[in-house]
Amino acid sequence: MTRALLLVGSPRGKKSTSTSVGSYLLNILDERGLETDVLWIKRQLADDDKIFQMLDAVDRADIIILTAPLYDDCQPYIVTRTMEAIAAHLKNLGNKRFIPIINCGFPEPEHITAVAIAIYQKFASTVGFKWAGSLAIGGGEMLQGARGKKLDEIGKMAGKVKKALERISDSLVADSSFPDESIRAVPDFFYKPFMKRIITWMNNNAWRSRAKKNDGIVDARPYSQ
Amino acid sequence: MDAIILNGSLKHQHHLTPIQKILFEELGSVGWSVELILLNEVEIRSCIGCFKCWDTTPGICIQKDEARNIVQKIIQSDLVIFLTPLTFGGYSSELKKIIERMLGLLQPGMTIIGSETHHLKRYEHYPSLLAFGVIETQDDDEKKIFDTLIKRHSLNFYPPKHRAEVFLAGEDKGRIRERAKKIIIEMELDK
Repeated sequence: MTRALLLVGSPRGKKSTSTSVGSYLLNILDERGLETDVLWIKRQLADDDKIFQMLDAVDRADIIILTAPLYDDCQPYIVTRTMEAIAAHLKNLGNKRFIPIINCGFPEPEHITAVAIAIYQKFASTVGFKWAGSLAIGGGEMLQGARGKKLDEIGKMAGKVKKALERISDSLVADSSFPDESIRAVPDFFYKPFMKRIITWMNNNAWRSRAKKNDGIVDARPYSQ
Repeated sequence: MDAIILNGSLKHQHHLTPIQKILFEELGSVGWSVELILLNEVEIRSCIGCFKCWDTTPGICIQKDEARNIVQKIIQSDLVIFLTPLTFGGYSSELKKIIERMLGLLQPGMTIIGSETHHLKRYEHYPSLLAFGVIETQDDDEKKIFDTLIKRHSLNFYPPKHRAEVFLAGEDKGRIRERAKKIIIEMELDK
């Protein structure tokens, strides 16, 4: 039986967009007869035993799905550590397929496709994984994973992402290739320049209010000399 | 003028040391006060994505460890040098860990630059960025990735000047020194 392993690479752990996106895909694969497993990287990096447990799971899997946020234009630290560990300890990975599904808080998925996907591709080719495509999701915060919401709980906002994940499941089950695709989680209407300015203004005010509520000044400069 | 070298070598990696030493000497020779931080020797926790450095203690990470001091030094310096073994074209885990802890140097919220949204500046002045990647064997893909990564990073962190350079592990020391001198002149770090 084909084994699919989901590695969740969010430093936020279970309450994250990476979890909600990955879980949705894994459920479909499970229903379609694949053997599935999920590991949260943050937890696995706690000690050497858990790291080797994660490497063992990678070694046993046929498909490795990585869901992770974009941090500073590339993969989070915890994912980098995992990539270094895989490269250092595992051999003969040529029979495994690898697909990264990356989300970012910025509405434009171009933040992800600019360079992060190329890093994942380089990682895959270096360790010998077969590239099974990628998905870049702009506006990932809108999926409310940080609040512990599942994709099925947020209505139409998850529509485009769910469809893309269903296409990914088709390709993984059929052992066919999925393209390097990017999507915007936010409805297209919000990307019109005028709307973008309004949303940006609203977003900035929301942050200001949040900080004020916590007795903070959002534009404080604590390290000014 | 203050510079800070963030050495992202992994434990037991020593091939970045000659480059670090030469850079330290060459910057010193043109008047820079250079501080070196070997990141793998410092206890730094990784970012947990809580955004409290944005909405609770704006500008300061809630994790109380040495990263706070390093981040303060970074924003108060004129030049930051990323020194990293190229890791699939990107940063090593040790370097990435401190970069993530720099989030509070930016404000939450967004500004539109070109067709993209980016984070807002928190400070008036940000340090320039010199990024040195070290690679075991020639790899044009990794060089290209690193160059793009530093350009993207610079869009978000507002350095007045930035540059990415890739060195070969074991590269002749004389050649490393020549390249370092040339970079210093071309970036006008000698003025």
